[in-house]
Amino acid sequence: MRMGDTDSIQITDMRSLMRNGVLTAQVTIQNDSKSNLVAYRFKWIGKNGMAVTDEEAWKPITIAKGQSTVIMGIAPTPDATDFRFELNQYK
Amino acid sequence: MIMKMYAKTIHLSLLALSAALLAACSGPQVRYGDAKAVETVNANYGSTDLQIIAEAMTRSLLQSKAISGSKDAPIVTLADVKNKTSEYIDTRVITDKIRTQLMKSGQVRFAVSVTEMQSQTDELKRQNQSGLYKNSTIAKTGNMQGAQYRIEGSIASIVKNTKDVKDVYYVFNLNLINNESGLLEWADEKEIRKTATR
Repeated sequence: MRMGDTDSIQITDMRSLMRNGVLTAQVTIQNDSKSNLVAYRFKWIGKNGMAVTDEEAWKPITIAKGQSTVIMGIAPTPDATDFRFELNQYK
Repeated sequence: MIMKMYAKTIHLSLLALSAALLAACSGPQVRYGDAKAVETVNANYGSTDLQIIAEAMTRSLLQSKAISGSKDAPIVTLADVKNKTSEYIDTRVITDKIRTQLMKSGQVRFAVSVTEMQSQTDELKRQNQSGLYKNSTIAKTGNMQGAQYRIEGSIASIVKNTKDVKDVYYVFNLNLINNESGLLEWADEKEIRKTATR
């Protein structure tokens, strides 16, 4: 899910697996345009599409032009079975 | 004469009204913000740092073998997080946040920490020694549970300044220590870099 001016950021890969009983997500993003200050967070979803906890904090990340970076996310409880990735600008 | 007084009164009330309107316009505007939003007021330690550190540590700890591999939720207690930075940082807020998030996961139980021990013993004393309570409802002494693990760590920083740039680097380190064996069962760190330019 995108918010703000984040069009220059491409999400090139998204995957997840259960590691030690907790859902672990990995998202690869790439910046094709100028250096960008973006923030991201994961939304962890359990059974029936219910969010398992409150909203996470937005985490800032600076991604230079042409740079590709891997973002890891670990679910806050073992109840999470799925995730959403949210991207937003912060400046 | 009366007309003149009327005019004066109207004039004065208009003045008062405009003064009130002016005061209303120049007053502070209050609005609620997003508590989870990225805060960039200056390069000092802030709410986003607190949230990022607590979240990173909690998630990493939940995935550790010591926690996830345990049959019952292990009992943990909070020890000190030392502030080795030049700033004032209430490290207790960080550990409390970590504890809350770990509790919410249901994977860990917490024993009262050293700072909460006084109120715990006060309550036990009150119930056992005051003679006011029905015997069958009294919380007995000698039944408190010892923690298997303790969480302790440190936060350090490197700050560099020029006339126009301030660069701050924080490193937060957290360890899970087995109280009986003294072994470190898990450790992780979180690095944060912030640069403020004029």
